[in-house]
Amino acid sequence: MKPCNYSCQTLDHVVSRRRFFQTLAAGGAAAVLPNFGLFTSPVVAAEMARAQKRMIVINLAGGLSQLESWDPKPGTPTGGPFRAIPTSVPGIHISELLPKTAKVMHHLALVRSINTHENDHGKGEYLMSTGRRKTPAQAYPVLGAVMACALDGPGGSALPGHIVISPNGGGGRNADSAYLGPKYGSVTLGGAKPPQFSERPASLAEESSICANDLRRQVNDHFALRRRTAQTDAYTQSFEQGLELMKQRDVFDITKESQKDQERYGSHDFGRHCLLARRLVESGVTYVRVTHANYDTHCENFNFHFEQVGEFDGPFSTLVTDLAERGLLEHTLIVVLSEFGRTPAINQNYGRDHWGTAWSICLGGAGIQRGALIGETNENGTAVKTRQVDGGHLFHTYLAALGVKSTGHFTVAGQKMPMADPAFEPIDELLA
Amino acid sequence: MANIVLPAMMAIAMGAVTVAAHADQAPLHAQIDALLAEAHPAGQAPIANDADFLRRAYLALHGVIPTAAQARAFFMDTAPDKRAALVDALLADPQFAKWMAVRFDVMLMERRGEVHTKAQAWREWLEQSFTENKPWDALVREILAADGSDEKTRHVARWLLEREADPNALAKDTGRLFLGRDITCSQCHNHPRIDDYLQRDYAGLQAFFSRTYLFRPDTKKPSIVGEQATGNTTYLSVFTKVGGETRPRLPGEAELTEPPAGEWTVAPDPKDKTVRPVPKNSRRALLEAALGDGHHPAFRRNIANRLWAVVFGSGLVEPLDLNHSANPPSNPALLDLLADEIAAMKFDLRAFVHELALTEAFQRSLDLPEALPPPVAKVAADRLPALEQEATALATAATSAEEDFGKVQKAVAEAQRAAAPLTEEQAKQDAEIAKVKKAMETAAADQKKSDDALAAKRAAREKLTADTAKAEEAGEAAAPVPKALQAKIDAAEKELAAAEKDAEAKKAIAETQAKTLTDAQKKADEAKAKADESAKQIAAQQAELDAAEARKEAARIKAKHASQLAAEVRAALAWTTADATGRTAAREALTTAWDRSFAAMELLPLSPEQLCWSAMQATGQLDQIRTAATKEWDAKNKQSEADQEDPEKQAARAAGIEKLYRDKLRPTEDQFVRFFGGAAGQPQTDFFATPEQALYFENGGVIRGWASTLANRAAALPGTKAMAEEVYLATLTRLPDEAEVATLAATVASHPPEKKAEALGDVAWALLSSIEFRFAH
Repeated sequence: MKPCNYSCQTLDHVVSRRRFFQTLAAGGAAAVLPNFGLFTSPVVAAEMARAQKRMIVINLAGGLSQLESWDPKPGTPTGGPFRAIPTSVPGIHISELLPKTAKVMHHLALVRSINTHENDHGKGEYLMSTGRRKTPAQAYPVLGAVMACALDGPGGSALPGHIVISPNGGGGRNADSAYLGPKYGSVTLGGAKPPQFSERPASLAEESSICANDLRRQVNDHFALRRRTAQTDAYTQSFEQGLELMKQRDVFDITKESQKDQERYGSHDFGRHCLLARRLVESGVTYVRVTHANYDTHCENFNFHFEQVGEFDGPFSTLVTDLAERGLLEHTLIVVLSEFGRTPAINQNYGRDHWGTAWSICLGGAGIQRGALIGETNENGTAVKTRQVDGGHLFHTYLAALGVKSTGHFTVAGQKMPMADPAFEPIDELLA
Repeated sequence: MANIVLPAMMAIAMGAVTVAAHADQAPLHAQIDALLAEAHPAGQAPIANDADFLRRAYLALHGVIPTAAQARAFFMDTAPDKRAALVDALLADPQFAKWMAVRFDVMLMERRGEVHTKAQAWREWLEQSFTENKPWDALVREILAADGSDEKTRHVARWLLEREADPNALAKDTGRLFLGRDITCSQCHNHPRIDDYLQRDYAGLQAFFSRTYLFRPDTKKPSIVGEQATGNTTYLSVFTKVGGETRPRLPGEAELTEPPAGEWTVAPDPKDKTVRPVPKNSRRALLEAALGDGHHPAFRRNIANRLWAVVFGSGLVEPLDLNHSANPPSNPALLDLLADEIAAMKFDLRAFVHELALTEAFQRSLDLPEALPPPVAKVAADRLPALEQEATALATAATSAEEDFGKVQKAVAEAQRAAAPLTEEQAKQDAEIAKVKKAMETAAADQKKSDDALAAKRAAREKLTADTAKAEEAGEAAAPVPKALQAKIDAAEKELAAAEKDAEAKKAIAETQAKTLTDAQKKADEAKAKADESAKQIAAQQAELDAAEARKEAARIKAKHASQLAAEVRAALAWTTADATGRTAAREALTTAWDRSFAAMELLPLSPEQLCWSAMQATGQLDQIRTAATKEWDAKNKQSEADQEDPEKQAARAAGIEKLYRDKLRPTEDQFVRFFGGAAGQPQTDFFATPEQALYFENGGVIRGWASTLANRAAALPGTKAMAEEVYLATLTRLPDEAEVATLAATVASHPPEKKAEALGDVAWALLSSIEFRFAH
C-alpha cells in the first residue's frame, strides 16, 4: 500500500472530532470483512468473518407480558390461563406459548428481575435503547450506534454497521447516534427493502455510470496532486463504498436464501425479517434490530399474546438454531426486549397494563452464560425478590458479553464520554 | 488598543528588527496581515488566483458559487482593486444577510426541530437582523430576553424554548455558543481535563437560568418561558464532596448582587393555573445585562473566533467551543487583537467580516509557492539556528517545569501521607478526651450520689442528736441514754463515718479525673496543633502545586509553539532546497504548519446548504426556479402598467416572488440537509461521508437530472472548447486546462453524435461529484 502523503498532522486527520480511540477486544484479529477479498482463502475469510462480534435485537414493541412468556406463574391469582412448560434447561420453565423456544433454551438465558421504575412507552424505550435516563442537556447514542462504533473494524465497509429493519416506511440514515456521529446512525430498511438508492434507476444506463465514475476518479486523482486530506479520502471512498453496496445488494434479498431456510423462518413479516437479520450479520453487519409489534395488550391480553407470542416463537427459535448451526452464535449476541413488562393484575378488559416493576428479558449467544437464570420475582410476580437489575445493568452486560470493556469511554473532541451509564455495571453472573 | 505581546521566540525570529508598529490608524485587515507575517518568518502561501478567490469569496459570503457568467465577468475585469470591490459587492447584496441567517441559525439551533416554535419565522427574524446589521450584543440580548408570550415575536424565543427552557441545557449552550467554553463536564465536578472550567463556574452560569422553566399548563396552548421568583443554586462535587452555593456569576467574575427574591410583577394565581407568573427581578434579565453588554473577554473572543470561522472556514481556536489555556489559539496575539477590535466596533458584524475578507490572509492559496523567494529564504536561513536553539531551550525548560511539577506533586503526596498519622493521633486524643469526659460524668454522678447519701446520713445523725436532746429535756434523770437510741446513734455514727469516707473517695476520683482531663486536653491540643500545622503546610503545597501546574502548561505550550515554528522554517527551507524525497516530506510538514495557522488556505467541506445551492446554481436550477416563481406570482397577481411604476407595488412583487422562490427551493434544501447535515442538536461542524450520500448522487436522480440540464445547455455551444469552458465555469468556477479540454473532447468523441448531451452529462456529473466541487479551496 502506498504511504499516504497528505497532511497527517492536521487536526482533521489525527484527532478528528468524530475519530475514536476505543478499547476493545474483537476476537483478537482485526475485523476484516470477507467482501473486500483481502484474503484469497475463502476458509480464512470465513473464519475472519465469524470472529467478528455482532448483535441482533428483537424489539417486541408495546410491552411483552413476562407472565405470558419468560416468567409464568400458573395457578396464581395473577397467572392467567396459560400453563408453564419445561425447557431444554432443567429447572427453567417458560410459558406454554413458546414451545419451540423452550427447545432451544439451552442456548439462551433469562433475566427475570428487571425493575426500571418506568411505565411510560417513550421513557421505557429510551432507557432500554440507550441505557440512560433522558435529559434535555445531553443526547445519548442508542445501543446500535454504541455497538457499531465499539466494534468497528479498520477500513471502511460498504454495508452499514447499524441497521434497523422496519415493516414499512422509507429508508435512510437516522439521527440516533448523538455524539458518535452520523457514520454510526442507524440505516432503516423500510419494508425490509435494500437501502435507498442502492439500485440503479432505469433512467441511468450502466455505461453512463461507468463512464461518469471513471471521469470522477480521474478528476479526483488530478486534484489529489494538489491537496489530499483524510476528508477527501473519506469522500472518494464513500463513492466506492456506494458502488460496492450496489454490487452487494443481494445481501438484502432473502429470496437468495435456500428454500428450506425461507420456509422454516416463515412467510410472514417477522419471519422474513429474522431471516434477513441472520443474513446481514453473516455478511458482517455489526448490529441489526428487528421489531415485532402489538404487544401493548391493555385489552384481551391473553388472546393477543396467544397470537403474537405464537408468531414470535417460530422464527425466533429458528433464528437461534440457525445461528448455532452456522457457528455464528458464539460471536453474536441476541437479545429479546421490550420497553417494559405487563401488570400481574388483570384489568376489567382481560388486559394487562404497563409494568416496569418486575419483568424479564431473554438473551443469549456471545459471552452470555448458556442456560443462566438471573433473579426471581415473588409468587404472584408483583415484585422482584432477588437480584434486582435496571436497564443500565443490562446495557453494560450487552457490551461485556461482546468483549467490550463497558466501563470504557469514547473520546469525542477531547472529552471522554462513557460507553454506558457509570452508575451501573455488568451483571457478572450472566457472563460466561 | 491592544497591547500586543509577542511570544519570546517571535521576538527572536525578528532578530534585531523591532516589532512592527501597529499604528492605530492602520485598518484592521492590515493589522491582521502584519501579525500573520510576523508569525511566519519563512513566508506564507502565495496569493490565490482569481478562480480560487472568486469561488472562495462567494462561498464564504453568499454560501453559493457564482454563475458561469459572473465568473467570466470577474476574470475579464481588469480593475486593480477588483477583489476588494467584489467583497464590497457581496456584502451589499441581500444574499449576504440570507446566508448569515443560515449560518447563525445552524450555529445557534444546530438543526433542532420544531417542537415549540417554527424554524422559518426564526430564520426570517435572523435574516432581518442581519439586513439591518444588528450588532451581535443586541442579538444576544434579544435571544436571552425573549419569552414567547407574544404570538408576533414568539420565534425570537426559539433558542430558549427548543431547549425546553431547561437550566442545564441553557447553561451548557450559553457557555458553548456565547462564551466559547464547553463546560458540560463541569456540571458535576471540576472539569476532569480542563483546569479553567470549574464546577463553580458552571454553577454560577447555571444560576442565571436556575429559576427559568417551561410554562405550559395547557398542552393545547403553546409553551412560554417562565421564571420563578425564588430558588438558589448549590453545587457539590461527586468526586471531592466539596461544594457551596452561588449567586449568578460569569466565569472569572464576582457573584452578582441581586435584588431581593420572592417579589412578583404578576403573582401566581392559585385559582387560575393559566396565568403565567412574572417575577419582579429576573435572573435571566441579569444575564442579558451581564453578558449582553459585551464586556466579558470570553464573550468577545468567542464572537471574534466564530466570525473568523465564518470567513476562513475554521477558527483561531478549534473546536469553536473549547477555548481554554491548554487549547490556545493558533495565533494568540491575533485573537487578542480581534477580540478588542470587535468590541471597539461595537459588535458590528458586517464591518468586522468586511475587514476579514479584505485581508491578504483571505487570499492565500491552497498551494505552496514553487520555492521561497531568495530574500525570504535568506531571512529564514539566518533565523533558523536561533529558532532551533530557542526551541531546544524551551523544550528543556518545559521538561524541567514538568519535573518541578512532579517533585511538588510527590512532596504533596508525602505530606499527605505524613499527615495521616497526625490526623489519626488527633482523632485518638479526641476519643480519649471523650472517654475521660464520660468517666468524669460518671465520677461526678457518683460523687453527687455519695454527697447526697452523706447529707442524708448527717441529717439522720442530727435527728438523733435532736431526739437525744429532746429526751434529756423531757426531764429524765441522767439515766443512761436508752440502749436502743444509743445503738441507733452508734450505727448512725458508723454510717456517717462511712459516708464521709465514701464522699472523700469519690471526691478524690473526681479530682483525679479532672487532672486526667487536663492532661488529655493538653495532649489533644498538642495533636491538633500538629495536625493544623500540617494541614496548613499541605494547603500551601497545594497552592504551589497549582502554580507549578500552570507553569508546566505554559512552558509546554511555549515549547510547542517554538518547536512548531522551528519545524515550519526548516520545512520551508527544505521545500526550497532539498531533493525530491526531501521535498515530499517538507511539503507535508509545511502544508500542515501553514494550514493550521492560516498562512495557507485549507480544504473546507461545503455545508449542506452550500452544496445544495451550489449544485443548483451550477446547473441553472436556481435560475429556473426563480423564473417559475416569477411566472407563478405574476399569473396570480396581475399588475397594471401603473403598478409597474409604483415602488411599493414593485417591492411587494419582489417580496412575493422571493417567498415563492424560497418555498420551491425548500424541499430540495431539506433533502440535502437530511443526507449531509449532522443530527439535530449536535454540533454541525463535522464532515462525514457515507455511502448513502454517494448513492444519492449516483442513483438519486436529482444530480443526474440537473447535470443533464447543464449538459444540454453546453451541448448547444459551438466547439469542444466552448462546451468545456461552459461546463467547467459553471461547476468549478474556472476555465479548464488543455488536458481537461482534451479529456472532454475524447469523452464526447467516444459517444455517438446524438448522445453528445449524455456524454457532457457524464462529465458534468463527474465534476459535481468531485472533491474540487465538494470542498471550498
